Amino acid sequence: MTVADDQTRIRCSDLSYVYGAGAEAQPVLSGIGFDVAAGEFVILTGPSGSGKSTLVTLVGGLRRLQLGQLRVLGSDLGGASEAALVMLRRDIGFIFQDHHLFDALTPRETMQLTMGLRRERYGKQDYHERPERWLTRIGLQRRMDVLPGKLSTGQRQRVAVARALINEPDLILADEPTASLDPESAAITLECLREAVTQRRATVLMISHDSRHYALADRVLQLIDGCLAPAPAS
Amino acid sequence: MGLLGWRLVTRDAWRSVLAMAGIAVAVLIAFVEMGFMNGVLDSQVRVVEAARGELVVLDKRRVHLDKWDSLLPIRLPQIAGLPGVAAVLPLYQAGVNLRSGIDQPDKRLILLAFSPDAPPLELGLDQATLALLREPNTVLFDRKSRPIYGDLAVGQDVWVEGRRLRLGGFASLGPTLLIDGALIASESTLRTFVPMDRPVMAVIRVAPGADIERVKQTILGLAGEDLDVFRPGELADREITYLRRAAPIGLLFGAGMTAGLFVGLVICYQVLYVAIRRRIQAFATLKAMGFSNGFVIGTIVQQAVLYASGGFLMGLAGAYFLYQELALRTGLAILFTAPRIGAIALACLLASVLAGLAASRQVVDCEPADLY
Repeated sequence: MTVADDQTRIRCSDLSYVYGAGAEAQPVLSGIGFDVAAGEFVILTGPSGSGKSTLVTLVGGLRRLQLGQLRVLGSDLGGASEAALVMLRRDIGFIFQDHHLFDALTPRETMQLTMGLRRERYGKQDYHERPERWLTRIGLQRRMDVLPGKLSTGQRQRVAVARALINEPDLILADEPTASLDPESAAITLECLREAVTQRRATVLMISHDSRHYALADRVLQLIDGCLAPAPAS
Repeated sequence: MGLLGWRLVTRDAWRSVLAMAGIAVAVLIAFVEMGFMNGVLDSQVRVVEAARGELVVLDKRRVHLDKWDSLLPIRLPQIAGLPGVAAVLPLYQAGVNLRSGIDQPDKRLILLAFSPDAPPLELGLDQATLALLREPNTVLFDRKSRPIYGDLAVGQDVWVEGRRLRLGGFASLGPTLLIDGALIASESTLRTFVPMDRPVMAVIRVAPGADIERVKQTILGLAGEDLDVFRPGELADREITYLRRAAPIGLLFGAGMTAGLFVGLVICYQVLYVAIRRRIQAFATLKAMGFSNGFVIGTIVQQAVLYASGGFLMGLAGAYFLYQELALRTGLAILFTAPRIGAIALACLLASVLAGLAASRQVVDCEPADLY
């Protein structure tokens, strides 16, 4: 890895992806190429079906590469083994539209479970202090030991955000994380993402249809019919 | 894995209890089948385990204990004269009809007879009771016999093969699958109504310091073709092996036991399948975050093992009470032993692990990419 590579968290070129095969083949990405550097907040936008989710899943190592080159956090995903992809994903914070929390785990336990992915970083005391710090940061200091069933949708999504950030990943992939949130939860979520960028030089790639978010971003990428298009006006 | 699997079970208490109850029923079925099988086997060898000597001699033709081929009388003094033999204690056996009152119907049972001075079996008889046996026309009744013989009281008259005898007291042996009860008599009382001089078994007491195996071989050498000599444990093993293999007992109850455990496996699988289906997106998220398939499978198997453990304990508790009731009603030796409990526990554990592995397939196959 070169010094330049070290600053580049995502580098992709000629990236294409097709669903199905033969007569059923449906191209969703065609020759995409872009770089995202450390400390950059990038919004990915575009109409439904333009290939945003496919692109994010490829970057997140959730999907196998078909055509093109993709390097994420220094790892070439072209020939990466399944085990290598699993390891890569531990360095990525994922935020989905839905929280997908385990109904049997309190927010504190969800944090502790997630910390287990990086147990080599933490001491025993961290498992107590760190979840409290993060849950306090997202305004759930009084709801740390409440099961998700008793939290509001916004509170649950905030837990999901804290889950994605607690291990301080170098790359955060978010899929419309504020789409179904109340204004307070949405604001906290975006603040947390922005903080990760400014304080830790994390890289954020966030899918959003909301043009109000563009102001937060360093850059906006627009996908139309699987191709990068000029960024929309904010 | 530990935290998650545990929480998934304990924080979903109602479903977990239902799952465990289902598995408990399967465990109970397995225990009952095993209890009956071992009850039949253990009861069959009670008479062997009660032998008060180091060796047991049978006629060679008596390949199992429900065959009553008897020994040649000449063999008793011959064996008694061999080096290393301290005593030969013959046991006589006859099938007889017992009537507990003059107007009562005949009931079939077994009559065991021996010399009160040298009882071959440990039947819980004290010296006073043995002294009663020496009295003419006096018998003892096995208090563990099935209750079909009615309430018998010490001192009452009973009729055996139409002959009036006095019930002197009680012994303790227990029925088998085929034999409902037993009377105990002295040799001399037996011969007053059954012409019998051939014992079905002789218990050998080996002289102190003598080598049991050598004495056994000496007896076999004497007897030629017509005797078999066993240590009591060997004879019990032979009998159990016979019943398990030659008789269909092992197959019948073994199939029931396997069916019970299979039901448990299916219940465990079904419960897990539904539980995982409900949480499939949460599991997919785990995979997206970088948790390995091994972690996810381990979590599900842990759930399965927790369900199985709870179900096993509930089934064990149910089986404990059921065993007591069944033992009381059948008179069979339906007993818990550590190896038997361990065997069911192990089978239950294996079934749950299999169920967990099978149910975890849907998580292994799920694509975290579909979350986007």
